Amino acid sequence: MFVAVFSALQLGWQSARGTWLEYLVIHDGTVRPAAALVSLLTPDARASAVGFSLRAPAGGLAILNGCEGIEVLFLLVAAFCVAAISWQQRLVGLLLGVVVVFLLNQARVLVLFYAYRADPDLFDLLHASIAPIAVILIASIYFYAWLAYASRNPAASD
Amino acid sequence: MQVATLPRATELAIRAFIAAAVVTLLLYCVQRPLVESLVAPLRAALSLLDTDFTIQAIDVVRDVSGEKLRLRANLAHPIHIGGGTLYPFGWAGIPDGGYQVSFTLGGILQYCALTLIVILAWPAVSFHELVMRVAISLPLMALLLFAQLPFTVLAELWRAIHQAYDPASIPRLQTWSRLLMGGGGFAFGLLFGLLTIALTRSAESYFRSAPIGGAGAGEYELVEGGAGNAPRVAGSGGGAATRRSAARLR
Repeated sequence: MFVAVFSALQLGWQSARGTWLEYLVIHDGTVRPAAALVSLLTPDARASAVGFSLRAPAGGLAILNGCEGIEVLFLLVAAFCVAAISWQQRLVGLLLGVVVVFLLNQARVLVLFYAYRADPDLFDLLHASIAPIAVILIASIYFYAWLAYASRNPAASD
Repeated sequence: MQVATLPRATELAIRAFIAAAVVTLLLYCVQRPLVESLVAPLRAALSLLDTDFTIQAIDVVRDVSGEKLRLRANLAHPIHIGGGTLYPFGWAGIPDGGYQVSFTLGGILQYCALTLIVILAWPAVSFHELVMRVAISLPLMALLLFAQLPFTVLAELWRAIHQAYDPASIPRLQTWSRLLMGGGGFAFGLLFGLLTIALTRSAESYFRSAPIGGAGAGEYELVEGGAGNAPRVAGSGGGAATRRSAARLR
């Protein structure tokens, strides 16, 4: 069932490319918050959200396939669908998981943004290896922690 | 006997962080020779999987965005696509050329890196178990690389052709490639890591519980003899001894 749910979500997302949904997730859900955070942390960077790009005078980022964190979210959704926990715990865990994935992805975008401006070699290392693995590991540990919490606090009914 | 228990989430997080740091550093140091060792098997796999392409060159190069595996290929023969015929570069007066696909070295190894992190982060009852995990994971990681690299190369080659000549159709292997790159590869990495841990535990349990020498399990029957006679033992094998009266033997 995990494979079925994940594949369905992934294929659905692929078919949503170029639509309002993709724009909503990437521009409104990823790039704009990242631009706001950069402006908060380093106003001198003068970052702005333009389409699917985080633009700034000294260098920016293009948020392409996989950089919006949606694949990690789909993995989490599929995992929660097959987890042997109550429906309430499943729903709460999933909602919290969405927040966790959003925060993780924003952290990834910010780290990559500043790394690219500081050291392109560091950006390559982070972008290709460290960042994707870090996000998936932290999301996995969150899921494990939620399962552990659910097993210590079983719900009264399903 | 040591019994492995599920680790706490915080303990697992710390172990995962340390394992990730070790694996990332290790791969950063050896990624180039490791990927270079994959060139020959990759070329063989591509020849096996798709005869529409001929591989011109596979090499590891460094450009402005870091080290990459670069592959150049050409069509092996004309193909029908988008209602027309596409000829290979260099065919009947067409200028020489080819299609180029490149991958970052880190991107090639990231799913296997995740497998390695999982098997190192999960607590082991002994160093021997940890070594066994690494050994058992090697064929699984080879399978993961085979499922990822040649298929992704072919998917990208076909995508380049379809984008140019038949954008409305879905290129071959596109679905599998997108599934892998869209989180499926990481799911496999995690799954293979957990599978390795389970297989190692099973193997360790099997070798620990195997009988030591002698016949198989059975039951000894202690037979009491008559007055002055030493008890005789009937039956064979290990197991519990039961006392029977001599009368049962008559």
